[in-house]
Amino acid sequence: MENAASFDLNRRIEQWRENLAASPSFRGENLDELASHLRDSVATLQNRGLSADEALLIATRRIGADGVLAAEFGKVNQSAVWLDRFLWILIAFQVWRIISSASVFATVAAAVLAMNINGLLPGLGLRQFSDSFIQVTVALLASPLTTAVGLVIAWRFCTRPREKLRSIFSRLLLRPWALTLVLFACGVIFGAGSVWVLANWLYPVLYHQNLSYTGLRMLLTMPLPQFTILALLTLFVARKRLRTSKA
Amino acid sequence: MLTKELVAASTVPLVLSVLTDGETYGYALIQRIRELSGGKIEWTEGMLYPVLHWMEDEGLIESEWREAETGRKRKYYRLCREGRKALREEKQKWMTVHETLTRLWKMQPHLT
Repeated sequence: MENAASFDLNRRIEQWRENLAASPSFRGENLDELASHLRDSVATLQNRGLSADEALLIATRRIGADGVLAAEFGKVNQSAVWLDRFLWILIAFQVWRIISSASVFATVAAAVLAMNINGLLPGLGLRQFSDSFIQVTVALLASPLTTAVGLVIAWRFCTRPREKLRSIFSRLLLRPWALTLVLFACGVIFGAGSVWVLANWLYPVLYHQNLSYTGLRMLLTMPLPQFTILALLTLFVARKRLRTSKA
Repeated sequence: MLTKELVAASTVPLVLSVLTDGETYGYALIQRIRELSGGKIEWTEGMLYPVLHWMEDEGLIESEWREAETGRKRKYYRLCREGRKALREEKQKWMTVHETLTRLWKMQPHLT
């Protein structure tokens, strides 16, 4: 009985600690100290005859609400808070590039499809639209639409993440190398993909000739130095952020 | 109940003063203050720690993790030389306020 109760208490204190750990305001050591305080407080209250449940309830209330604690600790651990923000800016920027590359891909695909359908219209006895009309229409519709869809997906991931995705992401945040590589790889693949569809799908349809874009040339047309600098910066900030929060 | 501002202003001198009795950890420090004030000084307990960390950064106190008799680890704080100096200054400031108020309040009956 005693064992079961204390096991539950440990788990509840762990949970409380994990909730706080979600905020960048706390260092690992801060959480150790707060958890130690909570245990002392619970023990004192239990000695006065309260149940583990009641004691924990009062002790967490006395120690302060999560948001209030995060705000106060954030003032002392400002560098950790800023590192966290900077990392999120870097991640958001790279995700934005991936989304816009995907948007280029979708727009080109839509334009090529529309032009091919347009080419079939005379055969069906219908009037054909001019290519430039199709391109402008598709660009006006498809580009903002696909960007919006990408942003909505990203927004949903941030506000209402699926458990599995969330755990993958939080594990990535703890592994700077993996995080950097994933973002870099996605950036290059989507970037190269968008260049590829421009060269191999859109260009032949527009100019009726093939641009022989080999893999190497494709890579050279991308802003690789920029990608590399971004990746190095992400790696640096993610590692520094981990070190600061563990200190 | 003290106002938020008064709690904030008095935390540092209170902590420094408790630590003159020797090293202690956060929870015990809060208990001591509650006891001495007859329960009139109530902190949001977690808020003490950022103050302690700030005081440590300022070199007023120093800390060390140590295992207590119960086998659990606690972070103990003790006063540094800078802290003693800061306490002397704090003492002067608070005594000035205290003496002025005392004099004023003693005069009040004659005024009315």
